[in-house]
Amino acid sequence: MIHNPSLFELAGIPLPFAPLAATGLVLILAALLALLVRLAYRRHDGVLPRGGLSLIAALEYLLESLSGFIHSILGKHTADFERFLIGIFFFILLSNLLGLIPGLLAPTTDFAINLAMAVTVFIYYHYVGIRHHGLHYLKVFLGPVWWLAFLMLPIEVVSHFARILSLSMRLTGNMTGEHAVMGMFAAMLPIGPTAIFLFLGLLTAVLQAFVFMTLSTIYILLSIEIEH
Amino acid sequence: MKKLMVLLSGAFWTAALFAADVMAVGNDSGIDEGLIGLGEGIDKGMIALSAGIAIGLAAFGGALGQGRAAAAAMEGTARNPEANKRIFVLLILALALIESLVIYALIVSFSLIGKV
Repeated sequence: MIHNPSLFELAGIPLPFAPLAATGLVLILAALLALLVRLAYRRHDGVLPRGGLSLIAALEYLLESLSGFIHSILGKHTADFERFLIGIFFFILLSNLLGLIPGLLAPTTDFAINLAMAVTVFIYYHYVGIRHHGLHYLKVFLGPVWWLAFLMLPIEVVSHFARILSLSMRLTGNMTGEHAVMGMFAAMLPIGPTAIFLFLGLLTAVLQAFVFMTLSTIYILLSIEIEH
Repeated sequence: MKKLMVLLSGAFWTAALFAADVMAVGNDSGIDEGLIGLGEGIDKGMIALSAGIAIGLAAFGGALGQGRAAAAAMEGTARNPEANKRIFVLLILALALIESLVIYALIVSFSLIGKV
């Protein structure tokens, strides 16, 4: 695939470990952001939102919109899962945005990291389903009628595993494709029209984080609401 | 008339596919010569061609699908401007999901380019 050099390589970290180093950077940035929010809320009574335009107000608005959106899908189960889902959203958002900075590498360009997230979501929603319904959850794989079970079981199993592949490949493909296209364009015309691709990259970054979160929400919903 | 032409051309190209096999009766260097005797680099050429065709077809189909989704969203918004935000969110979601299929083809294309 297309190779774009990054600061991590120049800093001496070999390319196979560069996405891990980038993940570390994302986690450090997320921790700094959390610290910033905590410091801003030191003298807050927790009732009125802060006025004025600031990073904290923007984060509040983002969180409210995301929570409302998750509520529109999950309904009464929102409170159990919104932290997990919004956490996924912020991790992927931060990782993708890091890739837009020239010289830095987005950890989500690495298939392994995306696969790890997809497998986590897979295991989690099965765990949620089993915790909610007990062993009755596994009867879903056998389909609606008992005499189709031999046909339904492989189809259901394959479609569930295909979810892992689709989640991870969608994210990887979008991020590497965006990076490659931007790299090619910037190599041809260093300044000027590259800004358009930067904007496209920004759009894709936010959108892919949103899509990952929405699909995870839908999978969790499907594993909870299995009554036809 | 048109159907006859299509049938004849289809038969011709199918025959051309097996032309190397027919002409190689008696000597076994037919495989190395490639299709219709085009040369030894035919493998790399085929791979490069398929990389281009893969992403081209995928973009075509993806654009069609996304166009239909956008058209439906616009019609829905025109009928009911109040549902603007909800339809917008669903539109963006649908567009991203349709686009993901194009991205799979892009990955295949990149892998093929890596093999050239």
